[in-house]
Amino acid sequence: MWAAIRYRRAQAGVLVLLSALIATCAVFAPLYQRALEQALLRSSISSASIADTALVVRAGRGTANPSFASAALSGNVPASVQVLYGDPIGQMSDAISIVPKAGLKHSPGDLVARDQVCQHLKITTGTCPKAVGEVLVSAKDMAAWKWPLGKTFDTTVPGLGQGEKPTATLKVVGAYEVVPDEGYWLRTQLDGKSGSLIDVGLEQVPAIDDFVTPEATFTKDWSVAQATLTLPLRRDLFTLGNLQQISDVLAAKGGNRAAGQGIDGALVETQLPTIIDGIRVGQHQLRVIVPLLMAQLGLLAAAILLLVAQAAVEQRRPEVALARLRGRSREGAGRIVMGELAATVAIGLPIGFLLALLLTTLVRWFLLPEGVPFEVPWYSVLALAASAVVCAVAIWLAARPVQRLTVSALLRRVSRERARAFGIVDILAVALAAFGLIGLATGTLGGPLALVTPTLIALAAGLVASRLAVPVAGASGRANLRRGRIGPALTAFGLERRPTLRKVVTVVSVAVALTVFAANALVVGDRNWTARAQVQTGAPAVIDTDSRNPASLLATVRAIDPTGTKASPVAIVRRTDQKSTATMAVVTRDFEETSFAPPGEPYRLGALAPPDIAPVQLRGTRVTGRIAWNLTTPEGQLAQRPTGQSGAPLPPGVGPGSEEPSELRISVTTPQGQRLTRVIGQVPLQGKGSAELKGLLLCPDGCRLDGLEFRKTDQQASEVSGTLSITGLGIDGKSLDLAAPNQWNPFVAPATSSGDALKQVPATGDTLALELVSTGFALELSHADVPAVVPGLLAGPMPPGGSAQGFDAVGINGAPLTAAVQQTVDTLPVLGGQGVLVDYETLARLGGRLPDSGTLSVWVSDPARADAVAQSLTTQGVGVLARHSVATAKDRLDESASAWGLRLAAFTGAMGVLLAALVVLVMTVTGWRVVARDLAALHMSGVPLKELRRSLVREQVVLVLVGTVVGVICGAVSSFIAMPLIPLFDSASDPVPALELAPDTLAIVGAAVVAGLVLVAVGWLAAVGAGRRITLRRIRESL
Amino acid sequence: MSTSALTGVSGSSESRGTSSRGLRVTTRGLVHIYRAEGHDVAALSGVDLTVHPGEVVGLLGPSGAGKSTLLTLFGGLMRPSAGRVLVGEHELSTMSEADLDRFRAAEVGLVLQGATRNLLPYLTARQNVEFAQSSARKAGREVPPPGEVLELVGLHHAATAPLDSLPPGQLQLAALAVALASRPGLLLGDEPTSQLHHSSRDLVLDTLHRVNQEWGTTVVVVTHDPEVAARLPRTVTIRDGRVGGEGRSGEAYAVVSADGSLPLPPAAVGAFPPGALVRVHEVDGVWTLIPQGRGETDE
Repeated sequence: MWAAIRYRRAQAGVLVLLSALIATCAVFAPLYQRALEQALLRSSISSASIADTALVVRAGRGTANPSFASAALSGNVPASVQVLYGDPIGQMSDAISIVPKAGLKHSPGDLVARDQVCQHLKITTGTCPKAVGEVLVSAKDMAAWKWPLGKTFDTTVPGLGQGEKPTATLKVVGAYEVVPDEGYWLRTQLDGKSGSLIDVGLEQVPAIDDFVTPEATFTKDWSVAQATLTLPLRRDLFTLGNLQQISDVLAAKGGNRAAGQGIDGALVETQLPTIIDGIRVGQHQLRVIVPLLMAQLGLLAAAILLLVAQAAVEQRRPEVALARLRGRSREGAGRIVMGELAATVAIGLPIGFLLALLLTTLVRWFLLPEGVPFEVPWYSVLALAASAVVCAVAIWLAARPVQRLTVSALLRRVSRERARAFGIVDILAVALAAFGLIGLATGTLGGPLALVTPTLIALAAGLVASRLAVPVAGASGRANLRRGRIGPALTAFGLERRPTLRKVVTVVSVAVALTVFAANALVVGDRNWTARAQVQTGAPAVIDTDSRNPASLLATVRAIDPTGTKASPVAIVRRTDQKSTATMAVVTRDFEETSFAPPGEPYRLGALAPPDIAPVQLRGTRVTGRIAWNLTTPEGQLAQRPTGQSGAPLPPGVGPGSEEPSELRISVTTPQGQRLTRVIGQVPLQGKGSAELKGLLLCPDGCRLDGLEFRKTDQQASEVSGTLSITGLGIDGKSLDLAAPNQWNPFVAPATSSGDALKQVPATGDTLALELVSTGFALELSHADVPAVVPGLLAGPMPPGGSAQGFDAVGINGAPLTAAVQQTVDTLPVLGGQGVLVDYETLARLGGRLPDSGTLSVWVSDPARADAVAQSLTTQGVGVLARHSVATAKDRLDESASAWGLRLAAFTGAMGVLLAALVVLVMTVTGWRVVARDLAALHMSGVPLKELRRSLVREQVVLVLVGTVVGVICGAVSSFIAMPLIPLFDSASDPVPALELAPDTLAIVGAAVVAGLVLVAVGWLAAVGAGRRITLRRIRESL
Repeated sequence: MSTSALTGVSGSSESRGTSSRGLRVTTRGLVHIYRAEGHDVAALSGVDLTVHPGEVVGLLGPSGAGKSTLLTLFGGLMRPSAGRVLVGEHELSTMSEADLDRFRAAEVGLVLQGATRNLLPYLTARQNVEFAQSSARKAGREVPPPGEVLELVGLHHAATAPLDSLPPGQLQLAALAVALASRPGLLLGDEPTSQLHHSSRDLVLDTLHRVNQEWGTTVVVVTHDPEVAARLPRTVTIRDGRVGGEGRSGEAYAVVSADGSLPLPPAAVGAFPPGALVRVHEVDGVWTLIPQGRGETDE
C-alpha cells in the first residue's frame, strides 16, 4: 500500500492536501465559532461598566424595618448568586437639608455612609469621621462656604410621620476629594454639585455636595434612610461554560433567600441578564452565519473529495483488475484501492486538524480581542471524526463502481461511456436547488436546506451545464473539423470525450459561486455596518457640547465656519418615554455637506428650510400704533344699555355695563425662549370705532415678535365677527412695517373652534387689515419667521392624536410645537426609526434653552477638522462633553458577532478557489497518462506536437471558464436571495438603518475575476505540464 | 454433460503419461456472445476442445477469431453464453463467483497480453509474486516460495529490482512468474511472446516448456507467431469462433466436430466455395471429397 502511495506521489500529495483542507474546514468552523463566542463574551463584559454588571440590592427603612444596616441586605442574595460576586459594598444614605451660610435658605443634600469610604477619598483636611454625627464635606464646599473644621449643621431627619421630626447635628471633621475608582464608586457620585444652583420649588438655591459620615450616624431616628448593597461581578468567573448557570441563578436572584434573612421588599437589580441576552443574540447570529458559510464549503469539499476519489479509483482500475485476476474477491480487490486512498486521506486529516488550530491561533492573534483563550472543545474533535467519516464514505462511494464490475470489464482499458442523459443525481440536485430557490425567494425556507441552497443552486447549474457542454462540444468539434480547423476541433473533441469535463465544470461552478457569494456577503455586510455607523453617528465626526442655547451655538458655529459646509449645529431632544417621538433639529441647508444621509429615499430637505421672513426683534418700552374696528355679535346676545351709555344691547341675563371688551395682544418670545403676551389694546364686542394702541413691552433684553392675538374675553357672546385695522404697529412710535401680507402665517383654526377665521385683507399704507370670526377664546396670528406648523421628516409611527397635517412634537427649547409630515422616512440619523427631523434655524428663532433631555452637538464633515472645531468651540466658551466619529462607531460594529462571523466568508471564499484549483490539478494529475497517450497516438498520426499541446491548454481553459461563468451567475443569484439569511445586526438598541442587501456588482465581478484568473492559471499550468508528457513512448504504457 | 463424464475424458488422457499436476481443459458446445448496444457479436459459436493434463497447446487464428475469448473463459474471467467449460474438476459455467475467485487464486494462472498489464508497477518482481500468492494462501493452497518461482522462470537475480529497470524479456518473465505464483495446474498466456525480440521470445518459450516439464502444468497460449507455433507440440486453430484445425508435431489436421462437421483448412476453402456440393468417397480406407461435376466427368 505504501509502495502504491509512493508510486503516485503527486496524486497522494494532492489527496493529502485535499483531506487536510476538508479537516481544516470541518474543525475550523467549531473552533472559530467557539473563539468568536469567547470574544463576544469578553467584548460584552469588558465594554459593560462595572456598575452594569454589578448586583445591587436596595431597600429603605420603614415601619416594618425601622433600623437595619446595609449589611442586612446580603440576606437577600442567595449564596449561589453571591459566589459570582466579590465583596459587597454597603451604603446608607438619606436626604438632609442644611443652611450653608447664615441668611441663606436651606439647600438640599445627601448624607452618605459607605463601606471603607475613607480609603477611596482624599482627605484634604481633618480626619475620617468615626463617631456618630461626624461628617466629611467636599473640599469645594468647604472652600466655597469657608466652613471651618468643627462647624456643625442642624438638619431635620426625614421621617414618615406628619408630626414634629427629630433633628440631627452634623459636625464637620474634615474635607474630601473623591478619588476616582469605578470599581468602588460605581454610579455613586458624591461631588459635582457644589457651585451650581438647583431649583427648589419656585426658587433657586445653591447645591451642595454630599456629606460623608460613618454608618453609625444612621441611628434609628433615620427611619426612612435608604440602604444599598452593591456586589461587583467577579468577571473571571464569567465564562461561556457557565453562562446558562449564571442565567439560571440570576433568574432566582431575589426569590431563593433563606427564611428569616434579608429585608422584605428589597429590590435586587442587575443589568447582567441584559448583557447575557446580548451575548445570546450574538451566539445565535454566529450559529447562523458560521454554518451558512461552512455548510457551503463543506458541501463543496465533500463533493470534491468524491470526485477526486472517483478519479483516483478510475485510475486504479487495472490494479483492481489484477487483484481480481489473481483471485481476490470483489470486496478484497475493493479493499486494496480503498485502503490506499484511506491511508492517504488519513495522513491529511491530522494535518488538517493542526492547520485548523494554527488558523484559529492566527485569528486569535490578529482578528479577535485579547484574552480569548486557546481552546480545543470536544466537538472540534467530533468535527474531525465527522470529516473522517465523510472522507471514508466518499472513498467507499467512489470504490463501489469498480467493485461491481466483472473482471473482464475491469480489464478493459477504457471504461464504457456513461449515458449522456440526466442521471438521478442531476435530477435530485436540480429539484433541491429549485425548491431552495423558491423557498428563499419567498422567504418561506429555513433550516439546513436554506443554508446549503446557494451551493445546491451552483451544483445543479454546474451539473446541467456540464451535461449540455458535451453535445455542444461535439457539435463544435464536428463543425471545426468540416472547416479544417484542426486545433479547435481537437479541443472540442477533447472536451466531449474527457470524463473530467463534468467534474471540473461542476466543481468550478460551485467554488466560484461560493467565492462570489462570500465576497458579496463581506462587502454587503461592511456596507450595512458602515451605514449603521453613519446612522448612529450622523456625521463623520460629532462633538457633543455643554451648550444649552441653540441660538448662541448656531452663532458660534457660524463664526467658526460661515459656509456651513464644515461644521453645523444639531439639537436632539428626547422625551422621557423612549418610545415617544424625539426631535432632531439640523441646519437643513448644511445637512448634505456635513451629514450622512441614511440609505433609502433621499430626504426632501428643501421644504424644511426656514422662511425667508426675518425675525422681528422688539427693543424698546412701549408698543404703539392705532386700531380701528368694525365688529358685530349675533342679535339677541347683547342687552339694551341704559340711556346715556353706549347703545349696545346687553346679553340676556346680564346687566348693563357687564360686557367684557375683547383684547388685542402682542405675543413675544424672550431670549430665554419664554413666550409672553402683552395686552396692547381693547376692542368692544361690537360696533365701529378706533383707539390708540398702548402697552408695555417689558423686554429689557429684547424680544422676538411671535404674533398678535385677538381674545374674545366675554363669556356670553358666542361669536364676534368683523374687521380690525391696525395701523403703524411699532415700538415707541417707530413702525415695524408688518402690513405686508407675507409677514404673517395663514391662520389655522384650532380643532375646538373650527368656525374661527382670521384673514389678512388688502389695505393701504402701514395698515394691517384683518377679517375675523371668533367663536372661541383667542385668534392667533403668528409672525411668518417661524411657520405655524413646522414641517418635518417623520420616522416611525405617527404620534398619538396626530395626523400628517399636524402632530405634537417638542421643540429644541422644550416647548411643545405642532409639526407636519413633509416626508415619511425609514430612518433618521442618531434617532433611528422614531423621531422627527426639523430645521434648526427655524426653531432657533423661537429662542429658549435646550431642555435637560436634549443634546446640542456640532457635526463636522471631516474628522480631520474635528480637533480644530473642538478647539474653536472651547475658545469661544463652548465646552466639549464628548466626541464621536463614524470610524469609532464602525470599529464597534466591526467587533460585533455578525461582523466577526461574516469574516469567515473571506476564509470560505479563498478555500473555495483553493479547492477548485486542487480539483483542476487532481484531474490533470490523475488523467494525464490517458490524455498523453491519446494525444501521443494523434501525434503518431501526424498531428504536430505543438498543436496537440495548445489544444490541451485550450481544453483546460475552456473547462475552467465555463465553470467560472456558471459559478458567477449562481453566486450572483445566491447573493440576491440568500443574503437575508445573514443576521447583520446584533442589537436594535442603537439606530438601525433599513438593510440594504442588494448585491454589490464590484464585489461580484472582482471575486469572479480573481477566482477565474487563479483557476485559469492553475488549469493552464497543469495543461502545459501534461502537454510536455505527450511522447510516443506513452503509447506503449498500460498502467 | 455431467462432471463425471468429463472426468472420464480427463482420466483417459492421463494415461498418456504426462505430469499428474496439470489440469485437463474441456469445452463442449462453447458459445460466447458479446452483447453490445444495438447488436450482438458471437465470439465463439460452438467450440469443442480438449486439452489434456500437462499438455502445451497453442491457440492460433486470425484476429477476432475468438482465441482470447476462449482463453478468458478458461481462466474463469467470463461465463460462457452457452456450452460448458471444464477445467480439472471445475465446471466454470456453473461456479459461484466466490468459487471462481478461489479458482483463479489457486488453479489457474493467466498472463495478459503486454507484460506490464500483469504487474503492479510499484512493486518488485518478488513483491508481485507475493501479491499474487496472497489470495492462493487465503484459499488454502500451498504455494511455493517466491524465490523458487522466480528461479523457475530464471528471474531470481532480478527479484528485487524495480520493474522499470527490467528489459522487456525479463518483464515478460516476471509476468509469467506472477501467473505461476500459486503453482497453478493451468497456465494461460495471451500472446506471451508478442513485442519481444527473438532472444527474449525464445527465453519465454523455454521457460514455458520448463514449467510444463518441471511442474507438469498444462499450458495454453494464444499466439500469432508461426515460429512460436512451430515450437509447440500441439496447436489449435480457431476460425470464426470454432475449432478450425489442429497441428501436431508439424502436421496440420482438420478436426471433426461433435456434430460431424469438418471445417476445411484455409487452403481448401478456395476449392470448395460456400454452397458447393461435394461427394465423399471412400477407397481403401481413404476418404476423398469430390466437387459436383468434376468427379462425374472423371468417372
